[in-house]
Amino acid sequence: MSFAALEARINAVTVAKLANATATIAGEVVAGMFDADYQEILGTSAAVPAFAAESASLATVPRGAALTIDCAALGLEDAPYLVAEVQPDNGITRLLLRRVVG
Amino acid sequence: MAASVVEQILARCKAALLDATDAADRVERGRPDAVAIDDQPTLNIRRGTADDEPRGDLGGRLMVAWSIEHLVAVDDDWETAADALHMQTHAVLAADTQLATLGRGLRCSGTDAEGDSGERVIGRLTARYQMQVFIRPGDLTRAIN
Repeated sequence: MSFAALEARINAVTVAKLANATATIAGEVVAGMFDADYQEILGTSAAVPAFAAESASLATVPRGAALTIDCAALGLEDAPYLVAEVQPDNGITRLLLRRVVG
Repeated sequence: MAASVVEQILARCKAALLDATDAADRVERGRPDAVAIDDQPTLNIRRGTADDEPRGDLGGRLMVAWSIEHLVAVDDDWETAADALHMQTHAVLAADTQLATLGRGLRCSGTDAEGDSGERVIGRLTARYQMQVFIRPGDLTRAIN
């Protein structure tokens, strides 16, 4: 098995085991890992939300794309976000998100 | 015991700014801890230096400096939002007659601006202010104006 194939397999297993949320992007539902740890940013306490999934599922997501997050563990249901930054990294892509304020 | 002229100036700044800008009642004094993102915009007044220049035996000139942090959380253009808030605070302070009785030459001597990203775009514009106060030796509580 090639290294790339092994990496893809490990990524798929990792996401399958650790996924705690789904992102709905342009009608497509993607399983992945969502977190929103709080940090102090310039004197402001703010969450830094991020969603990570297999790169193949997020390959075409551009910066600025709208998505919603469902994460029962954090009590989120159809929570709207925008993609602020796309960070591909060895088969797993991490989307840094910005909260949409109604 | 009476408060120093420095404290009187900062207290007056806070009183004048309360409910006078888009920050509404979110006007803090020397707040050391972070402000919740949903409590923006917020103003945070911080005491700076107060350097005394002796003027003969009868008194001295105290140059009182402080800063006002303008904290904003917006969707994108934080610089414009922070600048608009600063212009509101500046207008309030410049027009405040009670502040004018505490010293002379109110001046915004400069600004610093920083932005970063979290669940929203967060910006902090720090405006530095100064005012000169003439005092008698040994009495830091009263301005001679």
